Amino acid sequence: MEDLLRIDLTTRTVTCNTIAPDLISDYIGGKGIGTHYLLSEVGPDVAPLSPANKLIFVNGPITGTTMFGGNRYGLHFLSPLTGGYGECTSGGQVAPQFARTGFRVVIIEGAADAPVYLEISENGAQIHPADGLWGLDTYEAEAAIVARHRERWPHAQACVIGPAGERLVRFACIENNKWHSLGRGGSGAVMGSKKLKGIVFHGDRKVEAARPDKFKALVKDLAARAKDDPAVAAYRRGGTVNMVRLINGVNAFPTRYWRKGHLDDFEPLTTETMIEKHLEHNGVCPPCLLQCIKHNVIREGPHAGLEIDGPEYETLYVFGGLCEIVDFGQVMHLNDICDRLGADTMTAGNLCALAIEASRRGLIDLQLDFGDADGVAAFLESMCLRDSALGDLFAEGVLTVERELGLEGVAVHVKGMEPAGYDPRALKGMGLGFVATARGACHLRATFYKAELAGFSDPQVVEGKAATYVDWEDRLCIMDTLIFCRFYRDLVPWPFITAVVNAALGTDYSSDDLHAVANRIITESHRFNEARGFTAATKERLPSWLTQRATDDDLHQTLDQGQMDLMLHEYYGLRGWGEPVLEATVGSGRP
Amino acid sequence: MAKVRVRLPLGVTHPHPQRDLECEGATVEDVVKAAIAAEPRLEPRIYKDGKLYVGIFVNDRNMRSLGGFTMPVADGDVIRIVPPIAGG
Repeated sequence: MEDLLRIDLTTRTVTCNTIAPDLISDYIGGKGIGTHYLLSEVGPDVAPLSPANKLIFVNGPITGTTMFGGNRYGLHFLSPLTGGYGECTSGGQVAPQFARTGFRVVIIEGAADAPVYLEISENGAQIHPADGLWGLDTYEAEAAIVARHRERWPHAQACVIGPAGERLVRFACIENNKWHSLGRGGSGAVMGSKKLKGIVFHGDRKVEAARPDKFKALVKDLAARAKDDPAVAAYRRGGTVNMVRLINGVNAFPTRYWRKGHLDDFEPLTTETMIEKHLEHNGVCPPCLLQCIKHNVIREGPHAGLEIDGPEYETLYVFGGLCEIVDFGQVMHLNDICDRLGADTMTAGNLCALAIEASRRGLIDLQLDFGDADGVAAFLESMCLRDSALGDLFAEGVLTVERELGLEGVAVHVKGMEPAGYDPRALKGMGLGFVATARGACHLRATFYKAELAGFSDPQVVEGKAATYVDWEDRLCIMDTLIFCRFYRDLVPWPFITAVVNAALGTDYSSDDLHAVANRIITESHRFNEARGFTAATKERLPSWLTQRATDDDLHQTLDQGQMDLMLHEYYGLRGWGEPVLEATVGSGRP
Repeated sequence: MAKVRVRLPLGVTHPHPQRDLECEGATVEDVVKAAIAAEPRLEPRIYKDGKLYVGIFVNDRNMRSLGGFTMPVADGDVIRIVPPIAGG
């Protein structure tokens, strides 16, 4: 069966092929197969916003099945934000429709000469003019595209870019079902550079496991274990908002542009405030048991009537912690701006806080301060729309901003991507994750805060930490090949996830075999960056703002470069990558 | 009565560092009660609305797959309290 779809927007040609079976057994699917195609087909001389960059959409062997948590699709691309490896996944309702087209991989290359959108189905792809769509925000665009197809295809689902992607904002994202994002690394800008406004998916092909009886038994087992699981209960009650109280409690909540790990007046950002003042109902990305989605509404005040799914913990940390806008409703409003314009909240919020820092230092001609919700909202829009000189500068991302404003060492990022909401001075394993991850300062590859908070690794001990980190990163990499929702990580230990791979594909892997598969995939993502001149010295360092300063709170926690070097040295050794190059010999700017 | 090590992670002990307790008991439940008796401030982090709020691992295996809260423990067992961490 043909399961690889290629669309060339320059020549407007569509071809279908079959993925070689040994690729599936070597890479499984999802992140594995996506990384393989990215490394094979996007060479080191390609510019991120050129037609030669590719959008490689993927699903996994459990997508479109009855497996709870098999509800996400993925994307791999050369990132315009970092100049390196780009990856993301998104939930909502697109993934099952994508899987039911029968295509495991969709590769989009070239660029259209006028705005278009794609219709992808069991029959391949059709390229449609995006008349009346270019310029719409993401909510309007998605609704309009779906409306053009729903009468014939009632289950059609779409992903789109907003004005930020159209304007090639380097942290623009792709949105689906309004509030679900292929969020980080600027995939929306790549899509905008191809003049591709959206993609609608519809399909009726059944997705079946190779060993259906075994697969069914595994689904049942997962449901039984989830029933009384405390993490499932926590997701159901408060979603990721729960993390505000916990992470603030361990002094790892990045506050006041990474000066502090603790926000004194944090209660307005907590689950309890959300439940009391805003929560309307939970939601799911089907099929799912967790109900992590929190649909919130603002009932009074300046944004009364606004309702969104969210905000998630990461959005609360960037606007509530870094910008010190300590108001749940104001954070919802800022989240809504990002969603409608199609921008990653994590990078956008970090850049807003960096703008505050720059303003207070007199480096920019804008008055902006911590806690200024209206000022941050206006600046956020100007970045996402590039409608001012300053907004245009910040739309280029942190590598350009730090260079132009002389903020190297102050601006907090790795490879040009800002970290997630875990101060690595309090949770040192997060420091390793932020520097070692191919796409930038990402928390998702190992979610190692969990290991450190749960006692599997002492947060303050660096020696020997990399071994536990690698075990977690390998298992979560296999999750990404199946595309299991990350929130299922407690429910998919090695024996279970190995059984799922084997039941889905008909293989007989051991867990050790899957460790080798994970290492292969993670190594290829690393090689992709190496081919672009990334080294440990230039691209795997936290800024001195973190490594030469203690947190400015009661605990005064530190993380020095020697500790970082030790963890990275151990990590490289475990991965089989030799010694990290720790001395800089070239500049660190984005190619 | 068995002598068991209870590992309390940062997610339960904050703002203090993680620590271990040596406790005695015949079952997992006994040992957890002993840990709370030694550190009463942990109770609201281990129980919520009368229900167990944390995961419990016995020698690195989830107790729910072994025998549950009333399973017996042996000398030298290690019980790990794992707080629910609902992060992204």
